[in-house]
This record gives sequence, C-alpha cells and structure tokens, in this order.
Amino acid sequence: MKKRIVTAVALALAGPACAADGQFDWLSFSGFGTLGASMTDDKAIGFRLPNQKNVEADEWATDIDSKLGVQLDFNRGGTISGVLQVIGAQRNEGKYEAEVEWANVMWTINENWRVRAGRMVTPVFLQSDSQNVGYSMIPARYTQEMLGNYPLSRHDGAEVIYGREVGAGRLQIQAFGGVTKYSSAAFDYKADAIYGAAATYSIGPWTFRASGTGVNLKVTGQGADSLTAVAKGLAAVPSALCANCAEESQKFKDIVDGSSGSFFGLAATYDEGDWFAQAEYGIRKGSAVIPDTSGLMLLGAYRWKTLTPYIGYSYYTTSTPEGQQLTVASASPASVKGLAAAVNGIYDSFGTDRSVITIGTRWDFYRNVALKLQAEFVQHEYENKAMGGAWPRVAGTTYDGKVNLYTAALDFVF
Amino acid sequence: MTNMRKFWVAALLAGLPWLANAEVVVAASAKSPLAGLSKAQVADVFMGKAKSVGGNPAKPIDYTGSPKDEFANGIIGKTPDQLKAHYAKLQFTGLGGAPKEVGSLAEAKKMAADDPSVLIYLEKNQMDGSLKIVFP
Repeated sequence: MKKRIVTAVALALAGPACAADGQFDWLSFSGFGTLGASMTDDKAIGFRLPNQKNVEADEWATDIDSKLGVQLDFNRGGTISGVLQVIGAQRNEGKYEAEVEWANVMWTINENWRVRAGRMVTPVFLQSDSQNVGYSMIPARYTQEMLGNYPLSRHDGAEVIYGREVGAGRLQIQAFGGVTKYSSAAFDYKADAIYGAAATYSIGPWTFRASGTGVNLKVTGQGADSLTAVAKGLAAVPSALCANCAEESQKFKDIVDGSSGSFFGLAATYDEGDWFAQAEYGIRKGSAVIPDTSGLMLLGAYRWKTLTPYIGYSYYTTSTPEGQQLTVASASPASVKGLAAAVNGIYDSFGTDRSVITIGTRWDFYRNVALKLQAEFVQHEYENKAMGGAWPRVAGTTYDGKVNLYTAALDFVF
Repeated sequence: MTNMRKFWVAALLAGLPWLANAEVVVAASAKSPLAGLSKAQVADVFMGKAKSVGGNPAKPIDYTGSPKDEFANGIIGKTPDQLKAHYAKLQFTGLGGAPKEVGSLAEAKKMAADDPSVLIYLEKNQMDGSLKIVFP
C-alpha cells in the first residue's frame, strides 16, 4: 500500500499529469490521496477514525489519515455519465483494504435535473461526500465532531439533484435513498434503509445548507449473537437485583432486530477573497443502545500567499450517562455483575464527549499538492470512561481528560 | 553598453503590448444568446455551480495556454490553488470538475463558433469577429 501511495505521489509531482487531460472524453483517470502522520501526546489515549482498528498512543501513526483514491470517469459532462472510485485505507480489521466508494451512473436530464443510481456517499453533513479528499478542504481532516454523528459513509441506491437560480443565488436540492453495510472494529452493521434530503443555497460568498437523514440500522454477524446473549442474560436478572435490566434487555434486542436513527445538520460558509469561515451544527437522535449526539464546528481561515492558517473550535456531546448505565445490587452473583460490566462497557465506549480547539496551516507549496500541519487540543468530558470509537483509552493507564493530537498531512490530487 | 541599451528597448517594446492588453475578457459566439453576464454568473458557470444563465445553457471551455492565473484571481476571485481544491471536490463527488480543456485558443474559438452555449476567456486583443464579449 505504501508503495502505491508513493507511486501516486510521484505521479502527482511528475508534471502536468493527467488532471486536465481527457475531460469530457469517454474515459478519464484521476485520483487523490494523503500521506499523513498523527500522534497523541498521552500514553493513556489514542486516536483513529471511527471505522478503524489500529491505534497508537503517544506514538506516530501513519495509517490513520494515509489513503489513496483512484477514479475512472465515463463520459464526464455527458448526458449519461458514470463514476467509479476506489479508496484504499486502513479499515475495521486493521489492514489496508480497497473498497468501492462511488460507483454510479448519472443522467443529466437538463440543466436543472440530474438523477444518479448506484453507490454514492451519503450527503449527511456539509463535507460528508468529500471527506476523503483532503486536498479539497483546508484542515487536515473533516471535523470528527461532525462526522462522529454519522460514522457511516455511503449507500447503494439513487439520488435526484435539482438546481436552479433563485433570486440572485442558486438553490440545489438533493433527495436520496438506499441501503448499506458498515463495519467498525467492534460490530458489523446493516442499514436496511437510508433516506434523506439536503438543500444548499449559495449567494455571493455565502453558502447555506440544511439536511435531514434517516437510517434503519441493525447489528449483524457475531456481534449480533453476543448482543442477543446480553439481551437474554439481562432478561433473566431478577428485578430485585437490577431495576432497569428488563428495559436494557429490550434495547439490546432492538439493536439486533433493527432500530432507527435520524440526523439533522445546518451549515454556513463564507468564502470571499482571503477569508474563509465555516459554521456547522448537527444532531443525531439515536435509539436502542445508540445514544443521541450533537456536534458543532466553527472554522476560520485566512489566505496569505500560499499559506492558509486556520483556527477552529468544535464539540461533540452524547447522551451517555456520566455514571453507569446499569447498576446491580451488591448482593448479585458474579455472573450478573459481569453482565452489568459488559453492558456498561458498551455504553462507556460511546462516551467520547469532548471539546476541541484546532490550529493549523495549509501550505499550497506545489501544484496539486498541499501540506497541512495541525494541532488539536482536546478536552474529554469523561476521563474515567474506557471510551472507544475514535478515542480508545489504553487499558491500565490513568487519564486526566486532556490530550493533544498532532497531524502532518500531505494531500495530493492527480 | 549600446547592446545593453538595445536589449532594454527591445524588452520594453516586447513587454508593452502585453502590458497594454493583459485585460482578460469572457466571450461567446457572436450569435450566442448569452450576453451581459455579471461577474458572479461567470464565476458560477466556470466553478460548475450553474449550467445555464438566464435560462440559456452555458458551457465553460478552457484551453492550453489560457491566462489561467489572471482569470482565477481577477474574475473568479480565487487563487488558482483554491480553484483546484474546489474542482477536486466536484470531481471526486462525481458532480463535474474543471472545465474541459482543449488544445489551443483556436480550437476553443471554433467550439464557441459551433456552439452558442460555449463560454471562453481570453485576452482582449485575441478577440475576433466570430466572438462577442459577455463580461465585463
């Protein structure tokens, strides 16, 4: 994989390359990628993307942000066009694996209407659909405090896009529906239905966006078997020992049988001359064991020649209880205490509530290549929880709730 | 010394026409219904946001050797690097990309002559009778 990334960088640096060639021709090849290294400064906690397995604490990790994407466009700009995009990145088994991220056929009906069918990235938040293309954004990566509200990436289905002039600006509405599968290091999920819509209005330097997405989700595979076992175990605990075990049992049954979640996002950007600003807010309504969440991000950047320094603030909150979700009587047998510990461990893994201050700079030092240096100052809400997802704690350590994350990323397109 | 002076005079003479005519304009076929575009409309078309202007289809065309930096900075209001980042976002979400680039200005002019929806940009002194200025 590293070899492939190096080859891609070489291609990107090689010269005029092929980015500008062959467009509107029946077939064109292009790609993007990132060579990235990131490190937390605390042995007690590591950072990764929510769908990854490997994680390092207080050591440089090169397999978090490093990725390579290649794309084939068929008849781009034509009435019927197609796109196939494959991305190689570290995934839920800790290995670099290539997955098809986009594979769809689009029909441009007229200058207002477009329809596409196949595989596409779900446009939940402002930059969900371009989250992998580091070169297209100012910071090193799209704010995890937003993406964490919706860690799934894509769906197989269809989308209708309508665009027209409204007043002095332009309105674009997209509506979509489909299905997908998603795997984290802990669980495999199946989404029976993903549906939603997004409206974007841009006028002058301003862009405003609102979106809503619904998902029906269930856990499948071995994870489903263990969650079902937990549900059965909880159902068998006498209510004298555990007041809410029956209720929790139902939640663990629901996440296997299927539960629903919804997501809403609002965003605005201002992009004029040397200044760029972005504000975004999103909420998730969870169900079963999946918590409600919310995220906010504010970003400001100033372009000075080839440098774009930026500063951001973001937060992510969850409905994870500060204490333990499940308490059992002290007289309970060890098996019941063990079950409660397992349940609380699952809830604690969601409790990555945090606020983050980000500073960094983008440097467009060479054609089609940008270097980013970024520092994130993170304050976690629940320093005593084991956490999980993007911020797994290292067992056997103590944590004060404060960690800095440093990232260097070289983004390129070719 | 004389040689040096000759060199400077030649350099000045060579540079003058360029300095005098560096203004970049946006043009369409003389027969195109596209006319009197605003800066924002030009930017929307060349950034892939708009496929039409005032109900008339608009298709941006670029060409090898076009005055890209002047056009990006002066008319779109973005640096060439910013534009590339914008086009990368469009391209890798399957919704377009940079304008089609043909081999030469002559080829771009021919496309404009054949298709009234084509918009090109060029230095003002490169205009000819087949084209009309739609911006500024």
